Amino acid sequence: MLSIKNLCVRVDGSDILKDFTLEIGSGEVHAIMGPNGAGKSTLAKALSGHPDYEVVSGEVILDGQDLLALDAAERAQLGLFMSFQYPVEIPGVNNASFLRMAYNAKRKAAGQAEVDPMEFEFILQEKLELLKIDESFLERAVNHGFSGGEKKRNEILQMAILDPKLAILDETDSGLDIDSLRIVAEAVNALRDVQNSFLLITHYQRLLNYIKPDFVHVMVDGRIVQTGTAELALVLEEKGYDGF
Amino acid sequence: MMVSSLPRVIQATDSLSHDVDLASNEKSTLVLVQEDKGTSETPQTVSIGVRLQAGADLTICVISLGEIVGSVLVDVTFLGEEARCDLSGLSLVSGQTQLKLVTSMHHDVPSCFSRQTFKYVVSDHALTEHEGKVHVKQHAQLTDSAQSNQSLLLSPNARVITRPQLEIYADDVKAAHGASIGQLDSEAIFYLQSRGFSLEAAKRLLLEGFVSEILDQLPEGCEDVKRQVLKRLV
Repeated sequence: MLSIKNLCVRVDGSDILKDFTLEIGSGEVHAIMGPNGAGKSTLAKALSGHPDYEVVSGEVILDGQDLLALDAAERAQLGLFMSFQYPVEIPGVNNASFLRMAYNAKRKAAGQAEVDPMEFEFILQEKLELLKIDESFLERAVNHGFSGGEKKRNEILQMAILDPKLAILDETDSGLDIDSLRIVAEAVNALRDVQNSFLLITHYQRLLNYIKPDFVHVMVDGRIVQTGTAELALVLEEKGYDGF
Repeated sequence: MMVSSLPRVIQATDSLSHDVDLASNEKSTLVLVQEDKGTSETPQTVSIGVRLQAGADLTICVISLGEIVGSVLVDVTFLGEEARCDLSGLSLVSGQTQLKLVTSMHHDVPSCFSRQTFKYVVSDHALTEHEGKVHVKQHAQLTDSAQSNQSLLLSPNARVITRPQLEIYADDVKAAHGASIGQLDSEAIFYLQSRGFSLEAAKRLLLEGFVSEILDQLPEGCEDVKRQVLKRLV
C-alpha cells in the first residue's frame, strides 16, 4: 500500500526527516509516537505534499505510484488524506458545497462522472449518520467559527466522504476533550476496513485506547527507533521517551 | 410603511450623477455596476447623492469589475432620525485600473445607523484608493456607524490605499472602523489542495468565499449581477 524508503526532508534549511523508512500494508493501522520535535508532523506534511517541505532524497510509493512526483491535489485524488492538526477556516465557503466539490474533484481525476447536489445529498446523509454528525455542520462555512472538537470532526467527515486508501491523522487527539476523542475514534473505527490504511500520529497513548493499532513506532530525531505492537504504547506511557 | 420595491440595478455605461431621496420610512435598494470603464483621457465619474428622511432605509452596493479608470463618490446625508444606510462595495479590478472611491456618511441628526463594508480584490498593476468618511454633528447623539475595508492583493504590483476618516462632534455615539490588506492565505490554499482541489480551483474557491459576504447581502432580483461578478473570478 504505502512504502517509504530513506526519506530525507528539509524544512527552512534544517534536516528534519533522516532516512525515514516505513511500510504500511492494506488494512493496517500504524501509530507513530514520539516527543516534540521528532519530525512527526513533518512526515505528515511532506507525505501530503506541502510546498514548504523539501524532499531531499528517498522514495514514497502509494499503490504502485511515485507519490513524490505528484502535487498535493494529485496525491489527494490518488487516495491520500491528511487530517490536519490545525484545520484551516475558510469563511464564506459552504461546508456541504465544499465537500461535494472535493468529492467530485476526486471522481473527475478517476475518470468518473461527477455527481449532482441531489445525488450527493444521499452520500452525505449516509456518512453523517455513520459518524453521528449533526446536519447543521453542512450549513456552516468550512471550519469557520467551529470549536476545536468540531474542526476535528469535520476533518473526519471529509475523510469519510473522500474514502482514502491511506489516511494520516496528525495529532487528531490534541485539543480534544475525552468525549470528543471518543466520538472521533468511533468514527475512525467505523471507517476501518481491509482496503484502507491509517497512520496515526500522536503524543499520547490515550487515543490508542480507542483505536487499536496493528503497529506502534517510536520516532526520535527524524527516524523510527523502535517498532512494536499496541503494547509498546503502554510501555511508552509508563517510561516516557527518555530511553531512546 | 412603504413596501420595498425590487432593487434598482444600474449598469453604469457612462459617467453619471444620480440622486436618491427617500421619504419617511421609505425603503429601497440600489446596485450600481461598472465594468471595464474609463481611460486616463476620459475617466468615468460616478456620483451618487443620497438624502434620507426619518426612518428611511437604503441599501447601496457599488460593484467595480475589470479595468476601471475613474472615481466613485457616494455622499449620504441623514436628515431624519432612525434612518439607516447600508453601503457596501466590491471591486474585482485588474489591468491598469486607477479607481478612487470617496464615501461619506453625514450624520446630521440623532439615532441613525450607517454601515460601510468594502472588499477589494486587486491584481495586475491596478490601484484602488478609498476615503471612507463619517461625519457626526454635535447633536447627532446615538449615532451608530461602522466601516470595514478588506483587500486582497493578487500581484506584486497591485496597490491599495485605504483611509478611514472619522470626524465626530457628539459624545454618545458608536463609530467603529477597521481595515486589512493581505494576500490569499497559503495555508488555506494547501488545505484545499490536500482535499483534491487544483491550485487554480483552490484560489477561486477562496476568492468566492471572500466576496460572498458582499454578494450574499444583495437582495432577490440581483442574480444577474452575482453571475456577472462570479464570471470575473476566473
